Amino acid sequence: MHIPDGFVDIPTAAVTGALSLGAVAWAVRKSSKESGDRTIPLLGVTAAFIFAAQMLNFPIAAGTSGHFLGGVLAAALLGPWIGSLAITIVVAVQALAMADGGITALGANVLNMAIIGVWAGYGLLVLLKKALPRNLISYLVALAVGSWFSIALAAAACAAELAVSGTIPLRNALPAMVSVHMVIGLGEALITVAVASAVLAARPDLVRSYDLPRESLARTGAPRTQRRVRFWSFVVSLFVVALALAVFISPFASSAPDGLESVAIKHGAEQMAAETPVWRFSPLPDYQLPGIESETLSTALAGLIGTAALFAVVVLAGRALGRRRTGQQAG
Amino acid sequence: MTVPGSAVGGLNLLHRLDARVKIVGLVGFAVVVVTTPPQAAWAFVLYALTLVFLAALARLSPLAVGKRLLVIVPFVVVVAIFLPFFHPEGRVLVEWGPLRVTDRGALIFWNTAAKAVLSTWGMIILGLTTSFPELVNGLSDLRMPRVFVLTLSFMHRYSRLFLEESQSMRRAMASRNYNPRWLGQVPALGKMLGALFLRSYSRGERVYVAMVSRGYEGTFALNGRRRLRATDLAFAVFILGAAAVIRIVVAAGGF
Amino acid sequence: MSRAVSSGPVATLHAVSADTDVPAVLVQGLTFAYPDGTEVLRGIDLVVQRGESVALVGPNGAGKSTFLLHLNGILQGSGRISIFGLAVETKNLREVRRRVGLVFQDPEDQLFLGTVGQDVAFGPANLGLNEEEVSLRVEEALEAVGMLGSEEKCSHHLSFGQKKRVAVATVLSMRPDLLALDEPTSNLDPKSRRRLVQILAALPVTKIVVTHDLPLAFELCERTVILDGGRIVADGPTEQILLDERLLAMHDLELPYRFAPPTSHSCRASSRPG
Repeated sequence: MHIPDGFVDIPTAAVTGALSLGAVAWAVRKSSKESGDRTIPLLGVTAAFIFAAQMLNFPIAAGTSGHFLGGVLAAALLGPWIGSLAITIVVAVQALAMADGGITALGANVLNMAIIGVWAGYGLLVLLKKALPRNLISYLVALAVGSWFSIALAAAACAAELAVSGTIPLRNALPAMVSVHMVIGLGEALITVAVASAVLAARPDLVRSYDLPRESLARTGAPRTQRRVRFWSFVVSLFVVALALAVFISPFASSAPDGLESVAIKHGAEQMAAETPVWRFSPLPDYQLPGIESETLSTALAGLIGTAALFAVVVLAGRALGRRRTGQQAG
Repeated sequence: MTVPGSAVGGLNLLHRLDARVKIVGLVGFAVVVVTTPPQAAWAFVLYALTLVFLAALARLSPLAVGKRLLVIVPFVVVVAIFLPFFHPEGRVLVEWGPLRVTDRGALIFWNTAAKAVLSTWGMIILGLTTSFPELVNGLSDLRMPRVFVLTLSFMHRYSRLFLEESQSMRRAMASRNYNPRWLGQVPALGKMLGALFLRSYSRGERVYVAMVSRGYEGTFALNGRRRLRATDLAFAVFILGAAAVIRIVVAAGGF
Repeated sequence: MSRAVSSGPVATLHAVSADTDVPAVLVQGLTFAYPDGTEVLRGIDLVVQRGESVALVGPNGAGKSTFLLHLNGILQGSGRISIFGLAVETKNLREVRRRVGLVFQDPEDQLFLGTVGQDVAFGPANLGLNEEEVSLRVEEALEAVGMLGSEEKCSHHLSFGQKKRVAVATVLSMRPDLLALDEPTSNLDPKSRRRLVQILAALPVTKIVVTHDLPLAFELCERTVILDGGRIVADGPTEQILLDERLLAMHDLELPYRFAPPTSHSCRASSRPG
């Protein structure tokens, strides 16, 4: 989900950069107020922990692997301010020292992963905690949903930025990005819950967002998440879910672009349009021509084919990269 | 992925430069590249030549650079996949049933791919010629807020330690035949990370105590500011100058 | 950070420490319990004179490390502690922490910055010394532990024995009057251990050494204190305490198999100031 340079245009980069800068500055203030002179060592080891955790690839299926993001986990454990700052630091290091994620896209990447991802997931966790009965299982369910949602939403934000920049239209980018990350999000949710329950079992006081009576821990213990599911049926069902989501989301998404795309036009297209008319894409290329029904159908179809292709690419790339990484780890 | 600051050996000109000029120069270069309109293909060729020159100067192995460039592949491929589905306006270059690749679509692909390759390449040169402590010092000298500089230096110090710990835990798991093949086996990894978190949290507490024991009161200075040498300035002038000249000629409608 | 102060305060501090009437450490009725109610220290009384080297031994969980953390006010239990006549309380913490050099068991905790030089400079910089004075202190401290010339090295690349020595240097650079060492020789190979013991013996400061390495007590300390269950259960000359097999057995301690106590007291003599 690390957008490279060139995929977001200058206005988008500037706006996302400014938003991120503001949010991060605020987070610095709040976390220093909260943790005092412990902020720096705490933040440092948290960032190091997230960084180390992101190095661990987890297998999804068929040789594909995803890697852990950790935003909601950090927020659940240490509060959203520290969590969001730790992810910011990690994303910045990846861009500066490892060329993973563009330097002009840094604002967008921080916004997606460290701000939107962390806060949306954490917000959902807090809301669900209020809505669900107060017990350990509900807490873990809320955590799972929160971390899964944070990945999906960060992917959606990423798709929106690509669309506003005119790189990929929203009707293609959104379903594809979101559906793929809905699958990756499952891994995120599983790991987040497993880490949180391990920490809860040993040091419940270190899980800041857990405010239920401690006794319930001893009774319930860590949940059994490891279930025996037939491997290939799992792969196939993942694929079916991804496709179903793509088909379901695409028509829904096609109504959204207008607003976003018109923003893009307002932003920088005017002077750009004068000298480089072809670079910017026009907001309404061929939408009006067919009737609503067939439009829905065609966008859904496009989403479906796109998702299938993307899924294939992810599987192949994951296989190749996964092998390379395992090789490095062994060495 | 490797640990940041894995600047490989060699002590040639680019490695010895002050980190400040490398950061400003290569980040500035990336910004200029990203603002260049894609029609000026020749400009991208010149940008690439500038980077080839720098990489040769630093004696970076093309293989090492190429490997690192792989990180952008997924995004470039996604754009390529969607190429036939969008931007149906414009001159059709390739037509294949209902799928059409138009000149607009192709231009967008070129725009993203060329810019991604060039800016990433520049950052790879930065990463391969600058050790992480140097990078942190450079950011500190560039007046990056103290919280970030200090956090970065902590992160660097402890990420290696945690990676080693997580690797030894993974080895311990592998010795007991844990070899995850699919998502359902992931929770065990999570348990391991939980243990790693507990260790890292108490590490943070102990470090804090060690700092307080030595009179820490909320902030501290890392290093004194150093002076830039002539070679540092020459590098900054070269890279920013090259990028600026190319960009200005593009803006003036040259060629 | 203010860097205006140079050698001024140091001179005054030495004037204070010249007042030889007050003991280096005075602890009276110290008790401490963790927030969950676990009592760790249950009434400790201890006096350590200037220039003394005291070994603090006892089984795991006896409260040894917790006790050390009280010496510079990281933990504050109830009871009275004063360091060179200075009460360990919030208003004196700055000065107390300068005078008490705490060396932790795991050097990884103490070396938190990128390079050796930065880590050793951390303490003196916090004292508000100017850059020249700081680099002088760094040089002096690294020389004392035989690590001069490694300022630019990454702590990560040092051997474990070197890390231990640099950890000692990080507090020596603050010119402490009392060195409190937690398990200084744990996990060291015999050669690195020997080197560290020699370095520590040569330091002319008051020392409190928490250790499971009982031969270390013979080598470094003329006095040994046994702590068990949060109380001091024995206190006396090292030979007397550590050669009393019944006493050791009662507190789950034992000397290494076929250990022969040293007959010469050469290294102890060199640990005295002057």
